[in-house]
This record gives sequence, structure tokens and C-alpha cells, in this order.
Amino acid sequence: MIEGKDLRVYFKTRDVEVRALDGVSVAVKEKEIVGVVGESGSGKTTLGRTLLNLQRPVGGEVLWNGKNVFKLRGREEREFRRRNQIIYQNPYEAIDIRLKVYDVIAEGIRVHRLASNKEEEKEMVMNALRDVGLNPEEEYAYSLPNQLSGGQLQRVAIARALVLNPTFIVADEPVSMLDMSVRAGILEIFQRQREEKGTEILMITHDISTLGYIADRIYVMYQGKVIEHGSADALLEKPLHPYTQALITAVPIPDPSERAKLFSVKIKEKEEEYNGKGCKYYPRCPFAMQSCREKEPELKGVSSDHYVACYLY
Amino acid sequence: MNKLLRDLMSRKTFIFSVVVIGFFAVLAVAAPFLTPYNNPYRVGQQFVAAPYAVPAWATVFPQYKNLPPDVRITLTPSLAYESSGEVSQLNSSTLKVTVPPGDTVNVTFPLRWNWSSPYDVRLSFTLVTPNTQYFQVNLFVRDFYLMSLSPLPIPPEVTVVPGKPNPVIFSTELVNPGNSPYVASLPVQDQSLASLELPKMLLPKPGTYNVTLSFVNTGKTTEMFLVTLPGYSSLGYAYGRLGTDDNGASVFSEFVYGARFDLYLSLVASAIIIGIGLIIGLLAGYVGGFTDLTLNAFTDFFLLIPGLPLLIVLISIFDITGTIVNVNKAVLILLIISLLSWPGTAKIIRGQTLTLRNRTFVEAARALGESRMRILFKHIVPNLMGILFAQLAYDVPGVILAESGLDFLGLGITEFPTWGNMLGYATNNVSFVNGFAWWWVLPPGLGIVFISVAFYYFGTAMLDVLSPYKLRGE
Repeated sequence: MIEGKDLRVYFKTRDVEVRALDGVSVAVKEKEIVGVVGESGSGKTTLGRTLLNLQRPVGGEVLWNGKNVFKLRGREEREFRRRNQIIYQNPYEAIDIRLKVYDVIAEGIRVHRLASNKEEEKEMVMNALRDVGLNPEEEYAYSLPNQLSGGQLQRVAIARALVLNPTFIVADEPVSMLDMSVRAGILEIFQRQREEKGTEILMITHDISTLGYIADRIYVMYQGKVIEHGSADALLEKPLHPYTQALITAVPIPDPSERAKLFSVKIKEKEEEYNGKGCKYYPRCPFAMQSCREKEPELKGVSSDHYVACYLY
Repeated sequence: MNKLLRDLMSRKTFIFSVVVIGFFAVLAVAAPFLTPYNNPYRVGQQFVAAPYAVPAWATVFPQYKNLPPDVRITLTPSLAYESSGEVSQLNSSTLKVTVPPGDTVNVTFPLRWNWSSPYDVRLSFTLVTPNTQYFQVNLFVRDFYLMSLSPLPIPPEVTVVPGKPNPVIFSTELVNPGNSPYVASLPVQDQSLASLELPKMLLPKPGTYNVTLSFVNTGKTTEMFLVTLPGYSSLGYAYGRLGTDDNGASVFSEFVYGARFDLYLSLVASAIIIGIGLIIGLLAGYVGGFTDLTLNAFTDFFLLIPGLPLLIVLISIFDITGTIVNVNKAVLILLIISLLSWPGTAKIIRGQTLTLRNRTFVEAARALGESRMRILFKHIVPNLMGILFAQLAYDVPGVILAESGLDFLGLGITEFPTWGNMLGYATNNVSFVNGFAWWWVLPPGLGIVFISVAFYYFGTAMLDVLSPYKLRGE
């Protein structure tokens, strides 16, 4: 169980302050896969990094089993690091390509001293490789990262996280760099992990269709704010926020006959200038009203598992 | 490892650099075996040949064709005396000369000379004279009456002790009106030039010349002289692998010991530069924030100091006080060059550390729970290896150039040869040389050029091969 409360992360450059997270609260409950969706720059990745204490927020707190993760020290911090892992979008970037695959995966084992001897370490590494579907594992273990394809390397990155037996994983667009053909395989690893070990997963993506496939609950983010969240079924079937609706409309559907069923949402052709105080989305919102321009809407429940920040509801 | 080697060997520039660096490294290491002269600037190791002697192999060129090498031979008497009773062989190296009263016996030693005239002519032998006062021994080369030995000398005669072995040395370098009848016979203004002119007159061109010892008995009894076979020696104008400098010292020895010192100094200095640069660059780049600001300002301060003028001032100051605290000048130069040269290296390492620190795999390592130290030594430093090797290699030519520059200006080391010294002294003397002492100037000049290029190529190859993130064109 990991929970972020009212997280605020501001990035300052010389004359601009970017509010990457502006009062975001998320919770990932046990055995849950939670999706975070939003366009580039909406703060998804920052949210994931903040939850794992890789980015210090200017406000808010992250509770891991009731403890504030920013105040963890010593053994507790090491335990937190071990139990909470992150998988990055680009495996070539996220792995030190000097190291052999074996050493990449064994790194965590060595840091946390999980293996008492070399054989045990080797067994753990080989098991992890097998778990992520890299067969034959002996061959992969002693190859160099740049001898592997993107999909294979992403599996290595996942194995590096899974070998530590984490209870929570942030998967930061784990499949967006990969071919369609290998995406399902990678997502299955996460599903199996959840089913077999009860791992909580925060799946960050800009592709809402991926979440339909895997997530239990979905958060939709727009410019550093959560604008809608709810169970995956409710949210996908009945998206409330105009932005969510636009996101879902944008998903390509191969069968032309299906397209007729889609509700169509128009986006304003001409964007207005944002006035600095209203709803972040009103410049692009086709339903923008006067109230939208004056004050940002609060997140409020329309049902027990569906929340939206919009004056329409 | 194998892959690394294969990568390296596939680069022609790397192979070139290894060959050149290997060549100079072998020269430097094997210096004591390659040449007997370990410090040609010491007086005892000079005049191994004539000043400005050309390399021995250069005699293939027409203008150096007839230049003589160093010659050292023992002369043998002409066969004509075999039958006469007056001259006989006492043993393999000594002749016995019997002279009747009031008579003169000449013993002639033919000298076969194949070259143009040498730098000097030296003749030496040991003479045992009869135990009387009535004799004289004269030395001639061709018709020149060079020396007269007598028990009761009237200058220009030279003393010999009767009845005892007397070592006798004639040298064109030492002649003066007081010891040579020929010089005494010259007009006064020519007497002081005799030692320069004599070799040209004695051995003007290839041919056979006679060295004659003339034994004169003015007494009333038959007397017997013993004389060893005279040794002839002369310094030549063609010497060794690289000729000689203005003092007749071996240029090859200077070159080899110069390479030894320059390589040694530059490698040690580079190591110090890398050491300081790595510590400061890593700290600044990895810790960041205020530390970065401070160290960067510190680095900038050193970077902006004009190097050579400060170097000159510091060397001059420390050289004066050095006589008090007794600091070795080479160590002084090493330290000053190192302490002035690290800022560039530190900046480059800082920059590289900054980009590495912000890479995803470093954050991934943090997320795995690795400590800052572990990240530094497991991920940052190994990824800097390419840069470190490259900097090590790039700094070597810099140090060699700085040191050679100081030596060239005469502010650095003067007591033993370095490449800079060779160039400096050659420049000071080059106007006196007949033409251009290429054998003296080119080796250190080309040495500096080649070793700089080689180290540059070496560093670049290392940078390419050892930096994984460079290979992918990032």
C-alpha cells in the first residue's frame, strides 16, 4: 500500500516555474494495478519518481505502509528501496551498458546482500531471467546489453526489479518504446507478477488502451493535476471529463464498423490563452463555461469509484 | 577484453601510436644498454669525436663522402728493416734500434689514410733511451719536424730521462712553439693556429704518409734504443648513429637520455594532473551545488593564469631559493607543471560527470538502493575510464612541450640532456655550424612531434573504445 497525498513538485528555471505536480493524491492498494494516463508533460513520470523518493516534492507526503518515505533512514530506507522498484521507458538508458546482463541483475542482490554465496546469487539471477521469459537464460546472462533487442533489454530491466521481490513497482511507460508485437508479452509479466505475488503496480502510460488491458483503476492527469480517476471499467465505459473523452476517442480502432459507436468529441480549433486561475483545460475544452475560467474545479465523486474535476458534473 | 583489443587494433591510428610510443619507450628503457654515455653534458663524456661530426651513415651522401671516422691504430714499421741489423723486433710490440756512434737511424712507419683530414692527430709511444747524455730522438710526419726528444733539452726540445721508459705523446691539440720545432719555425702570427692547421697539413687527403722516428747518437759508443710501436689516433668527422654536438658529445646519447627523461617526467606529471583533475572534477560534478560552485571557481582561477609566464617566474624564483632548500630542479619543474596544468582536465571530467550523473541508469541505481559511494565507483568512474585514459594521453604532449619550452629558453634543466635542451643548445650554436646541424636538430624536433601525435592518437582511440556512450554517437 503506497499513498501520495497532495504532492507538489515545482521545477524552476530562471524565469519560469513549471508545476509538474500540483496537489496530486494517488493511492495504490494491495494487489492493484493502477494506471496513470496523460499527455507528455502532464506530470506522470514525476509522480512515479516522487512516489519512490527519487524526486523531492516541495509539498505533500508519500506514505508507505503508513510511514513517510522522505523521512526513512538507514535500514528502513534500504528496505523501502528494495521493496519499491521502478522500470523506465528506455531500457538502453536505464541500464549501464558496460555491464553484462548477469551483473545488471545481480547488482540489486549485491546491494541488499540477498544472496549468501555465489551459487545462490546465480540461481536468483537465472530464476529472474526465466521469470521474464528470457530463454535460454545462461546465454542471455553473459551477453552485453547492446547485443539485445529493446524488448529483450526491457525484460532484463524488469528482471532487475523483480529479483528484489518488490511489493510495489512503478512501470514508467514500460512498453512505449517497444514494438506492438512484444508489448503484450511485457504486460503479461506484470499481470502474472500481480496474480502470483500480489505486487502493486503503478502503470504510467500515455496510451489509454494499454490500461484498458491491464489496469484496475485509472488516474487521468492533465498539466500536473488529476482530473479524473476511477475504476478502469467505469472510467473507460463512461468517461466524464472532456479531456478523458478526447483521449479515448483518439485510440485507433482497426474495425471501421466499430467507429460509428464512438461518441465524438470536438476539440476547439482555436485555443484561448490560459488566464492563470481557471480550469487548466478550459483553453482547449469545447464545453468551457464562464465558471471554468474563474476557478479550478475540485475533484469530486460522481459515484463511489469514479471522481472527476469538472464543473459539468 | 578481447573485444577491446580487437576494437583497438582495427584502428590504424592506434597501431601507429603504439608503434611510435613503443619505439620511444624501448629507447628510454634500454638507454643504458644503447649508449655508454649517460650524461653527454659532462666534460668527461665530450669529444668522443670532432665537434659537429655527422652521423657515420651520412657518409653515403656526396658532401660527407670522405669524412674520417674516429681512427685508432697501431703503426707497424715498413718491411725494409727486416734485413738490416740496426732495427729488430724485440717482441710483438717493441722494436730494438741499435745506433752506431755519430750515426742516425730512421725508422719509418707508413700510415694508410683513406679520408680527408681528421680533427686532430695523436701519436703515442714509449721510449727507453740509453743511459747517456749524447742522443736525440726526432719525430716526423711526412716532412714536418714535429717533435724532438733530448736528455738536455733546449726548447723546443722535450725532456726524456735517460735509461728509463718515457711515455711520449704528440698531439696536434697540444702543440706550441715550446714543444714542437715545426711550430717554433713558423711566423709568430701562425704559431697559435698551428693546432688547427696541422691535421690538414699532415694528412691532407687519402694516401699513404710516413711517420718517422729518427734516432741520433752523438756519443762515442754504439747505443741501443727501445721503442714501442707508435699508436696513432684521431677524432673523426663522422661518428655514431647521430653524430656529435658542438662539444663533440654523442647526439644519439643525448637523444636517448632526453627521451628517457621526457617520457618519465611527462608520464609522472600526467598522472599527477589526472589525479588532481579527477578528484576535483568528480567532486564538483557529482556532489554539485555549492561544492561545484566553489571548485569550479577555484578551477577557473587556475585556468585563467597565463601558464608560461608564471612557469618562468616560478622556476626563476624557486631556482634561487632552491639552492637553500636544495630542491631537485626536475622535481620542481614536474610539480609546477602539474600544479598549473590540471584545470583543463578537471573541467572535462566535471562535465562528463555531470552528464553521467543525470543519466537514467544512475537514477536506476539509486532506485535499486545503491549508496552514493557505490554509484560513484561502480557506475560513474568506470564510465569515465575512456576520458581518463584520453586525458592521460593528451596531457603527455602538453607536459613535454611545456618542459621542452622551458629547457629551450634555458630556464629549465641544464645539467643533463633533454629534447628541449638539445633544441636550445642547437639553436644557440647553429650559426657556427657549417650549414645546418640537422643530425642535432631533427631528432629531438621530430621526437617531440611524433610522440605528441602518437599520444594524441592513443588517447583518441582509448576514448572511443572505452566510452560505451560515445560509441553510439551520443
